[in-house]
Amino acid sequence: MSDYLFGIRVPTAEEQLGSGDVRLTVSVVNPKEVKKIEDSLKKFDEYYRKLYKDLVGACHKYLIRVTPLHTGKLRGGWTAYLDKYQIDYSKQIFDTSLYGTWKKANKTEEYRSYAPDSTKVDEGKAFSHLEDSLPRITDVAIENQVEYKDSMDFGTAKIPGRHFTDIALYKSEHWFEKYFSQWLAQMEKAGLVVPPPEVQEIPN
Amino acid sequence: MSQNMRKFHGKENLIASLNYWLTSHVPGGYVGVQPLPIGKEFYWLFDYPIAPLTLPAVSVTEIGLFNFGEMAMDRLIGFDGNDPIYGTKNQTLIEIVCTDQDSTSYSAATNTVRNLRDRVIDALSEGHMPLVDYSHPGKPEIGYLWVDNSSNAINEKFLVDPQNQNMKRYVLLVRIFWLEITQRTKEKTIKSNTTVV
Repeated sequence: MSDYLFGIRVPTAEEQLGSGDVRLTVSVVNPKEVKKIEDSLKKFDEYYRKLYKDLVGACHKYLIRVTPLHTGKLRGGWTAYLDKYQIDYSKQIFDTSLYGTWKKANKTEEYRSYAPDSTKVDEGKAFSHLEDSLPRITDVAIENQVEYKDSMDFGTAKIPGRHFTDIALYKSEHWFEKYFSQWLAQMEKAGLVVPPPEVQEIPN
Repeated sequence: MSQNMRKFHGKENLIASLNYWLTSHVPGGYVGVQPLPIGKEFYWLFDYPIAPLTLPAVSVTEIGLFNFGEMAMDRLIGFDGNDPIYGTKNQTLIEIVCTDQDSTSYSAATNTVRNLRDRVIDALSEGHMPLVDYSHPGKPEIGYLWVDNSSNAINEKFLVDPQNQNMKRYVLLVRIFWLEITQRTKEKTIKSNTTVV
């Protein structure tokens, strides 16, 4: 009479002797656990992409706020990503909280004044070039091709540069690090994949 | 000042330490007014963010950057042997601009600014730059500065000036980190073999 091991019939002694070598492969599988792992990986991937996408949105909003403002054309050059994903930036586009001090310190009335104009923002949008590899891979690049962007960013012989792209770059790096480490810590604590924290606007 | 409060040695020491490192490690520079002495190739200028009148020149200006919050406060930054060292890690953004101007008799401005750019990068890549307390008569080392090459450390752009197209500028934006030891460590100095955590 044959024995059964994990549901597999083990050949009898006679059968084994009669057929020479006996090779047994036993694989123990718990389909429930495998499904759980697969679901977790899927969830992780989904959450990771969402967090990345939200963070890139927050960074673009910050970039808009640190970019010098007169009419809003230069700021319009940063809007391609936000427009593509329909992220609201109406609060940021004419926000002066991060730029007002510098503006006030200027000597001439022309430099001190603001002339926010939505049609100028739209003009700037035509110079906003986006390279977006989402959702395939997390790689997004934006280029602001408004003609005086470099002069404002790096300055000229007579005007100091504002370096807003660098300031935004380092701040964004910090924001990415903060949110990803927070999320990883939450998952470590919970011992399972959890939704990432809600991304807030970069404050200052 | 209460015992638990930090005592920072200040931004002045940071910028002075960086400027000293640059002037002593980038060859050919001269700190002073015209004319350029024999053997010197360019002027150094500090805190002058627009184009200098004396050319060629390298100007160094602090732009500033946000601090790290928790990292900017007194924390364990490493060990000196078995002794813990408490201090502060902070960062700032420095603009270094190499400028030169072409004329009817001179057309090497682009080459000159490229060359100056290379010299500056070499000096910044040499390793840790000492942070010195210049307010103390003994000028002790109280930490160090460094450029972290793995973290978008230097962003650069070559520019033909839009207001004067004979003027060529190489703009380097350098993210500088620095570690400063605080009062809790009884003014210990960081040695080169300090393990930073």
